[in-house]
Amino acid sequence: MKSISFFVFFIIFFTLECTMEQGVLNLLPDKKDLSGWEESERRVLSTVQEMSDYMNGGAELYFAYNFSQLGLKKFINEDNLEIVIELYEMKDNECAYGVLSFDLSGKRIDIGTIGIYDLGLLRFWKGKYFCRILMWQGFGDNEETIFKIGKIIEKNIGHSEDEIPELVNLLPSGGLVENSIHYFFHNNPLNNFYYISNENIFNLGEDAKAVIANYEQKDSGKFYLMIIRYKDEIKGFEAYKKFLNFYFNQDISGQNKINDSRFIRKTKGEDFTGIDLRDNYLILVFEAKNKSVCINYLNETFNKIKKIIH
Amino acid sequence: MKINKTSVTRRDFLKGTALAGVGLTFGLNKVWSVVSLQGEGGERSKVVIGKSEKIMDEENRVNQKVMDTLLDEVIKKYTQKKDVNSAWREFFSSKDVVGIKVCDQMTRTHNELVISIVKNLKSIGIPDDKIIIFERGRGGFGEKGIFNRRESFGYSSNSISKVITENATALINVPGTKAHWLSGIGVCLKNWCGAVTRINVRDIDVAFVIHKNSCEDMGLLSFSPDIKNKLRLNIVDALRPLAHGGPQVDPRYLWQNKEIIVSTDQVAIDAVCLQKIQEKRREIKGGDWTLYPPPLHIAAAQNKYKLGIADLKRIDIERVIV
Repeated sequence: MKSISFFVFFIIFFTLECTMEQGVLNLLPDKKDLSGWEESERRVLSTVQEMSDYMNGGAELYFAYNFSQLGLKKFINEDNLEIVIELYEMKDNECAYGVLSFDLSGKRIDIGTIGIYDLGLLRFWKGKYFCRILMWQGFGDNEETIFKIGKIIEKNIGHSEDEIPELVNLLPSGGLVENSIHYFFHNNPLNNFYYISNENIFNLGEDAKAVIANYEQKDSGKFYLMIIRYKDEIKGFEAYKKFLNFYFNQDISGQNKINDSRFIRKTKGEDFTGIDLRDNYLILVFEAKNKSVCINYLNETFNKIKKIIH
Repeated sequence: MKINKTSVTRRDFLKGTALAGVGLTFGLNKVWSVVSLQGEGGERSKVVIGKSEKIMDEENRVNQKVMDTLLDEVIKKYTQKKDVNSAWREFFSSKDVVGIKVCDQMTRTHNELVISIVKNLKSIGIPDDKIIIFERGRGGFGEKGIFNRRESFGYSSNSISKVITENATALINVPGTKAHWLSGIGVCLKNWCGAVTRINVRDIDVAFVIHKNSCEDMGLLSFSPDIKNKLRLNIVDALRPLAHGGPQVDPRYLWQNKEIIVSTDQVAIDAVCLQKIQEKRREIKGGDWTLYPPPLHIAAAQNKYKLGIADLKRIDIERVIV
């Protein structure tokens, strides 16, 4: 009797697993939706190995944003043109936004919560999904098909209350370079936006999420601003001390608190770097041309943080 | 807080992390370049770049005839032979079994380049069944293998493709050219990732630990005797490289470069491609667009694994225009 129960449980569990995996494919269009196009491939990828086989090291980008599974379909038409449809299911909405924010540049299009299209590639975020629809060749005559696919997927995903992560809204707006915002919580993405170290010196992770953006001002040139929100003040202070030690050779490891956490330094022959800590928020300015830029942007970010803390 | 007057630059900081140890420098114009830790003397390498404006049309279709001619001219220039067959015989004999490692993922090797290579191997007496075009554990033979690579070869106990360990006596490395989000760029050295199994980006339970520190130890794969001793030639598909965000392709960052690049030194080719990609990035943005993460693996391939020359001052670049 025991073994029969186990068998039934196993069958139910296995069936549920398969259904959940195939579910992501159900959000993608079928042949009947796309006249003149034949489905040439369909599969679901979820393991590290499957993803690595599909895109080598590119897979880690998705794992850095809590990837669950990828629904993949390819369609071919009589001219041998191919459309590749990838629907990435992430852990939650902010993870899907994070993946999209790897590169927000491009023409905005009204598909998904944020949709971007250029030269045969449509990318959009909706709910916990990030979608890529790509035509390598012949996209000029097939853009309507690409958009149609996008709209079908958007509709199949259904209603979603999407909001840009709160951290992003803490970025000062003056001088913010359009579409330069990146949201992340892993060192690998950070290393693509602004390389500091291969070591995770900011202790980034699920409890330490971050945003970085480019700024440009007529008089002050280009610079970067990064905000990291830690689980609590203690974690924030640990990261603060670690950064000071790594970046500025300032060892304050023995201290449990600091009265004035603002630290602005002109690096030799280069630009200004500024860091400050407020509650559980760490704020950094990199490559500022003058000290006042650091001061102004640290202050402005603090004021924004103050509003949500108090 | 009082500011300590000891000044450290970001460049110093970068050097202090890992860059200096492998000989990668971050220049004032914010581009990466490799230096030789033992100085500028010693061995030199040669790279031949072949370019043809006619090789690709506006729809990115490759002209086979132009490809054939371009490859002929590049190989002749590299070997300084007047006759194409003699040039290919510098690397291969009719007794060889040649494994051609292509790239099937994302920025794929163009079939037209592989067709040209196979034609040349056949013309020096290597039959179809002694030419294996492969990616990972799968491949195909000769002309048919260019389009159909479903035959399973599997992997040896050391996790390297059996095409390399058991079948081929000689290897040709034929990668695409791309910026890569984990390693800076991915060209020759990185292409061998697709010739092994049991690797993953987290380096957990793997046969080769290659992904840490921006893939600094990518040269470990080529350092394996199975690859190192059989690799005879590298022919890089730089027809339409990817300047940003690879390996996944965003067409905005692809450009028609219309080149193929040949050398026996895969490290030298990677160094040349690094320069090329950085130049393109500056062109796209109209100024600084630093390539992140730093491509540590190219410097490490030269200075740590001694696989070739990455210092551009020690690379002779010759050009062929068709």
